[in-house]
Amino acid sequence: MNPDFFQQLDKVIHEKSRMAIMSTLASCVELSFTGLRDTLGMTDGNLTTHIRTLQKSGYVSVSKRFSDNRPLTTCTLTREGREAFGGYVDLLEEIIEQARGSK
Amino acid sequence: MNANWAEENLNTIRTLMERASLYRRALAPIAVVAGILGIIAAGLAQVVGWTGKDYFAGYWMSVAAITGGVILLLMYRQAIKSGEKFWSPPTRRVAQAILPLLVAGLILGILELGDLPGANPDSIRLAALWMILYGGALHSAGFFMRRGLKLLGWVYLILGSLCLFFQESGQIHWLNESRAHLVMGCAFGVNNLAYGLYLRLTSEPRETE
Repeated sequence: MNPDFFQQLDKVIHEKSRMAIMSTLASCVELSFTGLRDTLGMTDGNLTTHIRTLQKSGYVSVSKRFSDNRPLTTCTLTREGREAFGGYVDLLEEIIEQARGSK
Repeated sequence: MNANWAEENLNTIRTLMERASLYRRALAPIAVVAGILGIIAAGLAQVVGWTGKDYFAGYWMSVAAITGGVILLLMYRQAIKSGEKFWSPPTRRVAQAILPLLVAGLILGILELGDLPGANPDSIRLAALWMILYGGALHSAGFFMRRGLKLLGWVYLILGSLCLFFQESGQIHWLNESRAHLVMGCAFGVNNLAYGLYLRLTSEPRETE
């Protein structure tokens, strides 16, 4: 198998929790922080840390507003994030295809 | 690292994306509508006086059919509004999870309607069994959805079991044939309505950062 494939994997997404966050956000327009936390079963602190990493890479945007007089934090995949995630999934598929082809 | 690892990652991504797409389905209006229809149906039957074994099973199966139709319509509208397919893989999985127990409830109702020789029909017992089956169906659906659905399933399972126990033991005289519609109204109307309101009131979760 071509080892370059693994070198090309996006290191920011290629981490279990961040991959889960990206996957969940990829199928939503936006998701609240608590919704994301409950869906993934992560702790507030852990989720915050990973969201910050994704934010720094420009993959996730976080917005804060009020809804029904209550503060609401929502997370969305940015265009860059969506592209990077698409690229990551494509690469995984290529790895599988190549492995099947070499069998 | 090998291809198995890549395949596992892709499966994880697929599962998470499907779970997230299901999570977005608004359960609150569905539960509220189901609850209101349940309460209206119970009140109507009690006021009009459609009480007794002859009416009970047929009446509530009709109510369930109408409620089911309205729920499907709501789900369809939600899917159209968000530009998604109605019969998506997550929706199919939920349907597969709830169907066996709902079909069992339907069969029980039909058998009750059939007035089989030697059978001893009892509306309270049927209501209790329906609660247990409905609770089981909700609990199964809860594996693919969020927001306390499994817990609601447990509530129905416990209520149904208690109802069945007290009906069999005859310890509560209040629990008799003439109050069967009231039991249904409380179980399927009030419970669903309360769950829907809970979802509505907590639909925008508070920030926890």
